[in-house]
Amino acid sequence: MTDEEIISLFFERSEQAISELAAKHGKAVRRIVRNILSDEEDVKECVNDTWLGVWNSIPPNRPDPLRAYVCRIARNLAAKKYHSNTAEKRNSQYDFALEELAECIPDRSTVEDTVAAKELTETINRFLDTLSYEDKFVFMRRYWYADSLSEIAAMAGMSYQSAAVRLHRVKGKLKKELLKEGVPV
Amino acid sequence: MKRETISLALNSLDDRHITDTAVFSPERIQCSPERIVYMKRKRIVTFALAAALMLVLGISAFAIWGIPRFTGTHPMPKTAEYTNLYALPEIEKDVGYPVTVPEHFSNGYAFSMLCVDGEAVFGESYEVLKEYYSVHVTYTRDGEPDLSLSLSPVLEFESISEAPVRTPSEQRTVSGVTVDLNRDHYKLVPEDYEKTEADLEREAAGHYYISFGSDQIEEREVAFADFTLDNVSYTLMDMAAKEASLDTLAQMAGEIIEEAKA
Repeated sequence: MTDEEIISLFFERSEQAISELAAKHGKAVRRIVRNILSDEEDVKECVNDTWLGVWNSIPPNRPDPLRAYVCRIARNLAAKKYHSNTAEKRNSQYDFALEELAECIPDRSTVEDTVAAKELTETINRFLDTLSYEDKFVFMRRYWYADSLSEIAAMAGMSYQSAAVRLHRVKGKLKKELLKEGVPV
Repeated sequence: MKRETISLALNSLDDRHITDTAVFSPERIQCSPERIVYMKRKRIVTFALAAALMLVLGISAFAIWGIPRFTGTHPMPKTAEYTNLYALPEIEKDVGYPVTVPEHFSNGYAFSMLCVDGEAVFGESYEVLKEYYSVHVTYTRDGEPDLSLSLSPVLEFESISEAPVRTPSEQRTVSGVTVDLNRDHYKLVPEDYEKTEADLEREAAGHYYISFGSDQIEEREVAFADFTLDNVSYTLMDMAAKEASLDTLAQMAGEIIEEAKA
């Protein structure tokens, strides 16, 4: 079934929309959620909340592309769950990914967090536009999808070493970009 | 910056970046210098398999004293394809090293095609550190899958590379030369494939590689024989390996070594 047909089912308020959505994009959603949350019960709950979130937002939204929209909802829910779950041990792929990225992003605790996040989003969006496809792929898979380096290397047909070197280089470039924008690093 | 803030910022990245990277799309790669080496092998192997092999060959990137280096295709004036070996003396002159390429092997495999490709080692800013030619040969035998032989000069960088050295399945001394023999299992899987417990166990045991991005699950046994002769690296490869493949490749390696010594 095409994404347009699935969205039509949501607009018709047909429950088949959820099962079709899960069949088409369920694996991608579970993969992101599982990269962020290590507890399988949390994963199931978050995936179900994702379907509910999509159900509640389509309509009025008519997202294109649908997969990015669904994955974003899943990632948001998983990240919230992760940060609110104090019992969560810091050992997930997501935690390692955040730890790495925090090394090259300065602490601007004096700035309102949401403003700081918005500025950072804009900077990273612009930064991603300057990268080669391979560099962007490595960065996004590591920090948005929270994949491990070995998984990224396998997906891109690179050696582990190559993926690691790329990521290191991209983080260095991001750090330079932040410096250029006057952010003390 | 707080992790929560970084997480919040990442969550709001543009859809196009998320969509662009949902699946690795080689067609989006511009002519960046580290583009996968041996793309010409597409003639004999699928892209996915070639990409998977790159994981093992580990020749796309390495580091020296923490400084990254990349190898990749590079425009060079003498790249060419040959369907016979009459021009071998000129080829050796062009590539700058001895090329020992038997026309026939005793097991019936015969020369079919030879390609000379340009490659280079690049520095961190993609500056060319060293140019060189590689040679790729295809051998055929009726009713059997093709075998390939690749040659490239031993690069001075390789001796001090920090790239991990993998343990061969087997090592033999053939005509006085050490030949590393490897038999590996490749599983090409769709992007959304989730590794099973068995996959993880076999990966940990070694010589088992999973490559994401194929349309459907495809499994292959691949055998390699690697050796160095006159400062030239030789790799014999059988992409449809059977029980006897390592013996076959070792024997063929021996014949190349003997021919080089003759």
